[in-house]
Amino acid sequence: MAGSTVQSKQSFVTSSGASSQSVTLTSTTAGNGIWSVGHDGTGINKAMTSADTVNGSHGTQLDNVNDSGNGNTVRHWAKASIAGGTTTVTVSFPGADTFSGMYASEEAGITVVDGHSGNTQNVVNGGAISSGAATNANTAYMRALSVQDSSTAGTPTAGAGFTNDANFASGFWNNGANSARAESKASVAAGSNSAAFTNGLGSTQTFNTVMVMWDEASAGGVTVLPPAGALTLSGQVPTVTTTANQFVLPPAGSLSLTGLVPTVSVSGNQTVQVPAGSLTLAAQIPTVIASANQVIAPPAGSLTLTGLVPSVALSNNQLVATPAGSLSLTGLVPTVVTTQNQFISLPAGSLSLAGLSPAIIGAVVPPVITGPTAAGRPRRRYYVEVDGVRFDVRDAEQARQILERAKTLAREAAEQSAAIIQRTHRITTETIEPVKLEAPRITASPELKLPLKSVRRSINKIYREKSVIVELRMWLELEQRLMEDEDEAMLLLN
Amino acid sequence: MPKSFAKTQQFSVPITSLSVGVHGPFSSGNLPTQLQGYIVDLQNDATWPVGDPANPQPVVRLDVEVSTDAGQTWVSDASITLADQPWQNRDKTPTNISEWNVSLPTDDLTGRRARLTVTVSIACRLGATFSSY
Repeated sequence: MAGSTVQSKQSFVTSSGASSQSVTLTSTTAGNGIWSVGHDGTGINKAMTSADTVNGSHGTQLDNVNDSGNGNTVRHWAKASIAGGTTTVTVSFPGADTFSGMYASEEAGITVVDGHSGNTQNVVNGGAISSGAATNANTAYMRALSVQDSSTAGTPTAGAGFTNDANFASGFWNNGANSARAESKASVAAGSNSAAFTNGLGSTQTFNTVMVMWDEASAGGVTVLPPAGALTLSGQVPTVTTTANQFVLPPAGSLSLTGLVPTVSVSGNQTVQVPAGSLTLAAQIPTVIASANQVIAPPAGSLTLTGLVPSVALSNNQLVATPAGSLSLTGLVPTVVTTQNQFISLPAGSLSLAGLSPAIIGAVVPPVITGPTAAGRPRRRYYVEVDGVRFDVRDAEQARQILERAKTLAREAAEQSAAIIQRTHRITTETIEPVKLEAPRITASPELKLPLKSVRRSINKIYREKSVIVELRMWLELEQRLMEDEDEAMLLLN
Repeated sequence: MPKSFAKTQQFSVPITSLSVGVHGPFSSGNLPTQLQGYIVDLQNDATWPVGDPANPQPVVRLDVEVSTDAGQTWVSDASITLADQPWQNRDKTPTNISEWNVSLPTDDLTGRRARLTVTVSIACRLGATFSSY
């Protein structure tokens, strides 16, 4: 956007000693700039200052032009990124100064000052008046003012390629010996540039000239500097349209989002890509709330948790459900520490340990694994034998487990033997032979020094008790059957 | 081709003694629809207060307000503060007259009026003639 002058005003007084002069710029637009120029006809180095009622002081002058030949001072100031509104611009003079004047303008399409210069010259008739050169880094909007400060009346004219301030077709400060001209030039290319006016007054004259260049908005960023609390976006929601990626680059510590919590809506997946080391969540611990399952899907190798070990707290059971083949624990072996018994409950058929045979090491009670022995594995040294079935064991503890299991199964085995005997004696009608269920024979490696006698006694007792019960049950059954036979015989006789 | 605007007197306040305080406002009628600005011709006399040149003090402040709705509402347009120093021409010779010149937008406006308010800080004698041009 090329720069332009929105409005301009001037004030000038001849003889009376003025200590300040003011003009009002109406309805200025926030973000625009104000350029002001002061003229003091009572001498050089007059310490004029400039300010306005909305934006305050305009700071140090850009240039101080001293016309020692005629006793004049010209200064100018630039205020960028103004707050909007009607404002009164005041140039203050150090004493009660005569032949003093001011010029103030509102500039649009500009951002910051990018070069300025000031110069006083004696220029011959028809010659070019120059502000002196200044360098602008970006495309700029140039404003310049030249005042003819010789004793002869007359006004410089706008230079070639420059536009005269339309508010002052005949110039201004046209009071006797003074007369000024303001001009502008948009889209000044970056480089060394100067403002030019023309002396068409018919003689050699003294001109005091100042020039400022503002970056045009298209050449760089637009800076909006609202004072504290003054920026309110209300009413209709503004539409912000960008044609390319945009960056918000607040300096360290300066971006604060306070008040109501803003709602951030996204219509699709969003990616936050922070460069290495730059994302820090500090101060209060953020609360992350998820209303549904969340998936963290880092690509291969990219998720690294370093530094302090994060603490993961679970308030109830958590399931880790990895798809087939996807869970690999490599590198250093993780240590799993449990402070109490842990149970792994597997549904039927779902635990498969394939590939290399895992080595299972138990420090307290080794698990009993039954099943086919891998070919080539060496036989264990010790054994326990139950009714001729040999169990290889590693040590006495494993042997005891088998004996305990045998004792547990003895009651069930005795019951099965009793059922068989009962069936085979059912056809015998005259008498019942004494029942003696044979207990299993149990032997073991002597080196194990197992309490075999005690185990045998326990098992034999189970079988003896079962034998008595079976024999008694068979006697009762025989008696019942004989009574039924007598009843049938009586029926036949009758 | 620049337009030529004739200087036209709108109202005049003859030189008079002004006490400390606010005087006015002194108002014009409707100004010409097109004009470049206004001129306030000022006049003092030998009684004008003169103080320390190293520490000038304000004597009088002139405020001009402009209305674009025939005097119903007014907005500040320009002001000037005159100090307790002698008036002089550019060649340093004493004088009792001065001209204050202020520009106005040259928009084609009807019902535009101006008024002048004088705020006196140090009693003085002053006259003012307000003209458009």
